[in-house]
Amino acid sequence: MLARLATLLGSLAVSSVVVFAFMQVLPGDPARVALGLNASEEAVAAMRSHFGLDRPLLVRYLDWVGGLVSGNPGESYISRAQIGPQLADRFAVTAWLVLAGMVIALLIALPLGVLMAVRHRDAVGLVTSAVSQIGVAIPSFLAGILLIAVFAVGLRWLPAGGWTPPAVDPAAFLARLALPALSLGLVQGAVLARYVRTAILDVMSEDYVRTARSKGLTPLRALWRHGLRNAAIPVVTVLALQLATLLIGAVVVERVFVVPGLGSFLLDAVAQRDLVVVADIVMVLVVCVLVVNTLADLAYGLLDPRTRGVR
Amino acid sequence: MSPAVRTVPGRDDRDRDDLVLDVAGLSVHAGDLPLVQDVALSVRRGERVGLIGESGSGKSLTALSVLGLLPTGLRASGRVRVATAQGPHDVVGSSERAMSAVRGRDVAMVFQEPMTALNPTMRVGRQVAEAMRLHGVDARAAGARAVELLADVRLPDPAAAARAYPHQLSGGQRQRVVLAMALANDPGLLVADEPTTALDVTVQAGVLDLIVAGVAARDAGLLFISHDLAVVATVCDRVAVMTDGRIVETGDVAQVLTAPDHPYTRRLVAAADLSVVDDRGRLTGGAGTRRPSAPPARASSGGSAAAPPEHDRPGDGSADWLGAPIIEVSGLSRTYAGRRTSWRARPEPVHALRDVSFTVARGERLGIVGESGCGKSTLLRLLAGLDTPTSGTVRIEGAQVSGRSERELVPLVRRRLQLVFQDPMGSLDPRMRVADIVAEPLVAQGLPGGRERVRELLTAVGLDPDAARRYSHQFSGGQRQRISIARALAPSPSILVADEAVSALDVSVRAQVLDLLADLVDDLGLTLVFVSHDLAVVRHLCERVLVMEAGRIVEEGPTAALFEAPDHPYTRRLVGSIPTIAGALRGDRPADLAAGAGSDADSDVTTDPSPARP
Amino acid sequence: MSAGPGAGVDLGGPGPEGVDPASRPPGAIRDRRLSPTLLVGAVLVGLVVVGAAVSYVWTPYDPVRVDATARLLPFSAEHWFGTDRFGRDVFSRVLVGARTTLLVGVVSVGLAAAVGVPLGILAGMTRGILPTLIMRACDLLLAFPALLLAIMFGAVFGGSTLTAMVAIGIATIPSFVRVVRAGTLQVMSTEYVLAARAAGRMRPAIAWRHVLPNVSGVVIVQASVSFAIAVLAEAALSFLGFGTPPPTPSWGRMLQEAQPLLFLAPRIAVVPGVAVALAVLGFNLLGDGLRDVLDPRTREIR
Repeated sequence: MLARLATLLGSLAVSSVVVFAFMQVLPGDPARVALGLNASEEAVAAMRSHFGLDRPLLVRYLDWVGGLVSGNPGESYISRAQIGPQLADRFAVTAWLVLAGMVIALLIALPLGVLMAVRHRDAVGLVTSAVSQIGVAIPSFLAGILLIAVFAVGLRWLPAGGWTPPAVDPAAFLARLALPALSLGLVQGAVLARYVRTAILDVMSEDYVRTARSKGLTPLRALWRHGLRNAAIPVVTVLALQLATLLIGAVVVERVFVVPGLGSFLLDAVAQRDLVVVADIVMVLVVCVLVVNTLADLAYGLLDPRTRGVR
Repeated sequence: MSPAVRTVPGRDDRDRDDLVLDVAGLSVHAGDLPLVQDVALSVRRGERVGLIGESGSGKSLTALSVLGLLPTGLRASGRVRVATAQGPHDVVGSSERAMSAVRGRDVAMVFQEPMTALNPTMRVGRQVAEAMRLHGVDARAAGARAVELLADVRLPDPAAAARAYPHQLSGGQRQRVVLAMALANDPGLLVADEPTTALDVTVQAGVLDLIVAGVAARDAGLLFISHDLAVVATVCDRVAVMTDGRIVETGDVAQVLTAPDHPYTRRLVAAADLSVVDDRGRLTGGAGTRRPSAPPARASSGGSAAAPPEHDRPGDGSADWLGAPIIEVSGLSRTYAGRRTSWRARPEPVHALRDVSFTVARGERLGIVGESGCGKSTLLRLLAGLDTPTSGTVRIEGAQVSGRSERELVPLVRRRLQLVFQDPMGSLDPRMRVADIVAEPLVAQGLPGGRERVRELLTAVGLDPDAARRYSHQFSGGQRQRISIARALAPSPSILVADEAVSALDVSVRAQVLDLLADLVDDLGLTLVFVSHDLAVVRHLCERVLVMEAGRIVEEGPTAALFEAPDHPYTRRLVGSIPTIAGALRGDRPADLAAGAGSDADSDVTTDPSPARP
Repeated sequence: MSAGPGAGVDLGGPGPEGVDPASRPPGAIRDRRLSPTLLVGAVLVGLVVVGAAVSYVWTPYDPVRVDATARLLPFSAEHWFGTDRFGRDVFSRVLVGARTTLLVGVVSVGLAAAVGVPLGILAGMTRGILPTLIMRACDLLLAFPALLLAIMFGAVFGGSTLTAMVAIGIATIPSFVRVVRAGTLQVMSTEYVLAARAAGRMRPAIAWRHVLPNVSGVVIVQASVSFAIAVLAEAALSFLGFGTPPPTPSWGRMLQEAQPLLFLAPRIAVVPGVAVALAVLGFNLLGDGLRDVLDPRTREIR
């Protein structure tokens, strides 16, 4: 437990160094890049001192990390706006998207995966398996485009994009959340369903399921009472990776649906070469992934008594 | 067709209602491929019936058919009838629901592999209780009864064991849990499929005792499946012999084992008995030898184990013919860093080997016996220079071996000492042709010979030289073991180290490979170090034996003398717990073996000092 | 079976039970030989490869030629998949786009395998600090998915096919390291490696002669699955404008160009979309099919 937290802190430290180093790779002086080629030497120098760019690298790194940790990452080189509040707003939007996508994915994957495993020898299993394979092959942004074509353009049931915060208008919030969350959830659901199927098929061939049947459990009850918890162990690991994929998938889907989340923020910042903002957003995403992986590891320990106390 | 099932005298008078299992005309097919054909079997209340067969004989499928638990894709036909409170129940064609009611209540099963038979994420007590709850016992009563059952199978501190997860118990303990589970509802029939094959011999004695006692206490029938004739002879009253999917002989244990009727049974019984040898000390009367010309005669085993073969050994009966030792081991210890069990606590070091010293004379056949975890595999790895000792030295032909670099080891060890492994599947690279496998030591050591040498070696181990072109998976277990031996002989070593080299083989194949080893050792004047858990094999093959326990050598001496009159308490327990056909025919029962194993059935408790208390 | 005297009683071979009916029912043996999964996967992948190859010698039209008179034409005999808003032939662009997809896939998967396989073998064959370091680095790299890495690269170096390939390749390294390390550990624990050491083989020879051939199956399977992921990532990157720059056709960019026209001509999005999906499906199925053939231990991962 403590060891796992130490590993998390170590990973965070190393990844922050990587991201910071990345910002330094850009040829040229960020102040000059921000101000343009025509800027005067004095303006550049003033900006350098304003942002502390004239200080040693280590100080700037510590300053940057400190800003992120304290929730006050400073201001953008380009827009001179405070990054913090914007980062928080955008993060909330993306979090809604990812959570809704995850819920949809689970709602699809669990029943579908169990169905595919239990009926893996007959037509039902074959058809569901084929459908899930196709689902896996569709990128989430393509799913988004198709959903827009059907529900926004064709049926005109839902808006094709945009965003309304839940506090402003819950109905509009849900209407605008539906399509992007679906495009994330459908695809991830298909991927997850295949992992669930494999995990359950593996468990069904385990000796202890046969033992359970020799006690008098029917195959389905043996699977329910003895299989599911064991099948959950590999699925939880995958779930963590899936959350990372969803987070990144959201970047693209936000672009499709013009949703003002972290993804659009990131892409806008890249377009403006606003490297501090890019680094901040990347760091936020990386922290999310690492924290989720750690939580998955801990959940693993809860599910599998064999690993308890070893870590 | 199988011969008619003989009725055992004295049982005719029993009522037909006594039948707990009645199998007739049972066949199992995979598609059109018959795996089990026309099997007839019956078990009465209180009767213990053995089903003997080698791998692939269809005995396990027969067992699974009795519970209607055949793997998907396999189809049973014929009659399988088990007794229930509501009268006989036909298993073939029964609905899954009806069968579920019968399983665990009227007929229960113990499986071969205790390590995987229990759900790793459920506490042991709940798994035992579940067996009862499924058949109408309420939760509280089932929980209490589960602890009683765990006490019945003599688990130490049954209440704590009930709260433990399977991984906190040793293999023997887990098998007792499975047994407790199977006996929970007092079934009329217990099916046990190789229940002790994965266990050490002293642990086996305890588990066998519990099975027999548990069945007897319930006046239940037992169908006991095993490849091991001695175990079946000790456990059962009646026995059926199965091969190629058919039962070829059925009868009283004493009768089948002393006067077998069917040729297959005769071969099997002959091969299983390692004490019957011809004048050259061979088991198969030349069938397993590699060429017609007889190798130099060797005095038959028995009391005069020290009598040397004529060649390569100067002098006579006295000890000095042994000459300078070819292997000298002194003060050898090996300690591994233990597995971390807690974040704060320092891992306990594991002492695999503690201060072991012995010598092996040139041309000697030394056996090393002991149970799993006794350190014999570690010792073997150190001898072969595959691991580095924590302290102590190994000398091979006078040269200090320990701590040398891989390159230095080539002339010192690799040229002189070669290994034969246990697993005929795992010891040959599946991606290599036999020619490359056998030539590997030649190539690695830059020795000449090439293709000609490979053909020569394959012929020497009794294989067709054309085998060189094929892959190992195209051969049977016995043949693969011959390939393994050919590889070991490639660099013309003076020492052959065999690690459980016949343990994974069927009895009939085992005899052939043992004869081959004996022939090669004689002809080539090899020194043999033979590591095994199987005392009978060691007794047959080796002149001298070391007994190991917990990383130490507890006793050593000439094989026959040591096994006739074991001195150390551990050796006595080990020898006492081994089932033998002769002993069984004299009337030895599992209870006697368990008594021989010393501290009754709890002897495997020592393997895991910390059960329970999660 | 000619070898071995007394072979009549030698039952150690794969008898009826030797095929282990529990894990592989005999019906499946036939399936393995002509698995529909493998067949469909191979056909789809073949389609992409042939499409890319054909585009070098022949396309119906110049894929980048703008024709203001032929904008947004529907499917027809002249233009099989219609034209886009600049009047470019969609079929020609899909053919040429297959090149981009394959190029990115081959280079990124090749890069990942070239780095990942040796590291995986190293991590599996050595002890001490080195394997720990390698695996920790992999864990860390997993926190930077391909898309994020490519966007970072794009931010610093500008988006191009090269940055996309390198980013996807780097992000794919950990999956190769992991499967190869697992395979290596398994091979290293076998008795045939012990036998090879006893025979006098040195470590590099063991790696080359025993480990590499025995992990090659999982490497091929992983390559196929990673290829599918690379195709997805490339499409997403081009869609975002971080991949192949215009005017070179790529399926992701075609989708990006199609999105604003969804209200006018949704069909333009369908063609490249189907192309991406079929390519990904093909590589996934190929991977699954190969896994059944090459690596019977693990039936299927996804």
